[in-house]
Amino acid sequence: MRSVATNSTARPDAIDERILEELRMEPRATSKALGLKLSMTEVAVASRIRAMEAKGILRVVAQLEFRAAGYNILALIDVMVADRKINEVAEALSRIDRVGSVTMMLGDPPIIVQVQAADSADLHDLIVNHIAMIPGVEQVETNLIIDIAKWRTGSAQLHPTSLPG
Amino acid sequence: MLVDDVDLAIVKELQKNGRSSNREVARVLGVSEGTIRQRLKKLEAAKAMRLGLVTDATALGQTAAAYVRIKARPRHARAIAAKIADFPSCSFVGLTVGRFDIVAFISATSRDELVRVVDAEIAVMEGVLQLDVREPVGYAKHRFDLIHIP
Repeated sequence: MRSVATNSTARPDAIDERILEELRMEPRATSKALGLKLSMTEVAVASRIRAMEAKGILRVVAQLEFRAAGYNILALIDVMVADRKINEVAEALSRIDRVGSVTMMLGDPPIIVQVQAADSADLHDLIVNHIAMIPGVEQVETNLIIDIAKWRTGSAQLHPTSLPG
Repeated sequence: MLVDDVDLAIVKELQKNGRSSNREVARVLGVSEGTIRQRLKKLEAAKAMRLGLVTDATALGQTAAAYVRIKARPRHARAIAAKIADFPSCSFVGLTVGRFDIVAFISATSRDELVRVVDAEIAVMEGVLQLDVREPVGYAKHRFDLIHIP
């Protein structure tokens, strides 16, 4: 029996890669259909997918158009930090609901956050009453996205990440 | 379109595990399998939702990444964003107001490859005036359940 390691450096092998390639095109393809395509048994496909899920290599998820989720505004905000550890500020930013991602950077700005909001009043509330209120947040600079040419997420850090709720 | 409560319940189930069959989702929510099938069809047709594969960047060897922020000649900005959107290495690109005109997020399997994309593919585009490249060193949060479906 295969052992399932919970090691973040676990890498998919060549057969795993072929399964991932198929799932990239058809994320809900059944193990049976994948097995026929890849000349494998349904059980072998299912167990490889389960193993990759357990190792945090893959997830198949419903992804919502952000406008359908009730948001109309997307912005990237540079956050400058003073008198507090950057990862503590990043942690506090992560807990804000309308914050979609928190990325710690090499050099300045130390943190870039991606936020979504219902409208400009909601964005203002988010910045003034939530982000700016976090101890250590010294200054913010907002880059408002006015037209999205591409936004898809097929790759992420699955380990520290979580879905809302 | 805005989604209703039943749609949201289905989406929520498929956020836990997008490979659950319609039958399993129907059983959990206490509705018919046909309802699930119809709702999913409607949501996908309206481009409100899609099922997506998300792989772990580290496990797949995507070890280098950057926010590439661009100052561009105004009449070229849209075309530059469209060209960057075609790169498989690009997961996000948009026009922005503020200090920059375009912001993109680029991932690569090595720092050399990242440098090549930035220097040999983006910097040379017509209308690009200035690049500001910012490299991540860690992620405290990365939601992957929101996207833009063109």
